[in-house]
Amino acid sequence: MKINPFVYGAIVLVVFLGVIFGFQQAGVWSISGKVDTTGQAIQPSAADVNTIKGWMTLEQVSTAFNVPVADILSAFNLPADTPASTAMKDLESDTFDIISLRAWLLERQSNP
Amino acid sequence: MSTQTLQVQIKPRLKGVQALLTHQTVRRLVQLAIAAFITYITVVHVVAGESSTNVTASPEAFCPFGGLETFYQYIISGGTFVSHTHLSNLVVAAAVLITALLLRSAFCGWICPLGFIQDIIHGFSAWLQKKFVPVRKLFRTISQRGQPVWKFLDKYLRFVKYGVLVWAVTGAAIYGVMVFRDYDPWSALINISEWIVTPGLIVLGFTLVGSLFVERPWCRYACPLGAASGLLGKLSPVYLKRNADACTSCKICTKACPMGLQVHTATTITSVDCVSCLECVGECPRDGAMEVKVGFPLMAK
Repeated sequence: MKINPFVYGAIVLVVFLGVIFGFQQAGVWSISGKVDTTGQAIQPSAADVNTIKGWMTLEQVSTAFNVPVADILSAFNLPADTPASTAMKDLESDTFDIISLRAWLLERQSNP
Repeated sequence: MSTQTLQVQIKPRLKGVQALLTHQTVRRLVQLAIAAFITYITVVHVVAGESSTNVTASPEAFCPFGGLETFYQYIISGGTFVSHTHLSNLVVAAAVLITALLLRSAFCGWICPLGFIQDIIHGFSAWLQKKFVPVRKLFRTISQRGQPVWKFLDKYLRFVKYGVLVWAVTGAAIYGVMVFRDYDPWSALINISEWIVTPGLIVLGFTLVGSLFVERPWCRYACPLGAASGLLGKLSPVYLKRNADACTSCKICTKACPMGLQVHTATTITSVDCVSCLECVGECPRDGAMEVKVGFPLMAK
């Protein structure tokens, strides 16, 4: 069966945007780590290391998990003069990533 | 075949406004709209800043490849993402893959802003060559001298994108970070306001300069999303057909193909590299010689 190129283009848009709008309508959509799928603000919580997101600062994580910023920096061989206002995602390097930080905090919580 | 029959088969030449009412104009408008949307998102995000209390989407939140990179982490961790990705990345990736499954790599040809930028640069190069004789001579000399080597390299460089796909996806799965991000020209472009020189910025430079000489160099050789989309598109029921009876092998379709496919010698165009832009269909001067068809997946019939 032959398809008109205009129709083909229209189907492409309908399928592509339709899938996205469909997921959005089903509540499966979030464009930022600052909010969850219901639009509620996400804050770091000591009860769950998975609440740590890339936009959070060293200071926020330090406060929520009651860990000195200096301890975090030294544990991951980060420069000691790193500002506490630095976001997690801006610290990513060979020695640091959020998954490692979560694992480190979890271990620290279980072995205080 | 009589001369009269041949004349009937030639498409009428469109003039004025009618010449603009083609599927290629629609495609360009769609690409432009998507690029404008991403530009708007980027500007709003940069102006608001990371520390803003207003929630603004990073343009990275709309990158479909981020969805492929974070998929493994999302599944095994029960809902967490690798840095710089969100639920939106998974959704847009699903949209790209479903589109590929149904309509081949139409995302690449109709929607992808990086593909559009390469198209624009190559169009600018063609305009320069048309307007200025010295530029045309320079490009012709480079093309003639480099053609034998390039023809050889082109065949093998097309496999690089599969390597990039495997490296980026498995790297993110193993290390939990986007190992490809620092080398990604799209990431470099949407984060250009950070003024950080990354390997991705250098790749972006090569891509943009390379687009002056070769159409869509990133898509042809290195795009991991195009590789995934092309492979999945093999299962699509949609294909392009060249009707040998109506075709005069004028090669206009092959010259029009931005991916450098030999359209004029194929019966059905089901290449993983085809971005379904339908340039070949639009440029073909013969009525019915190039068509978009729906058939049985994998059989192209």
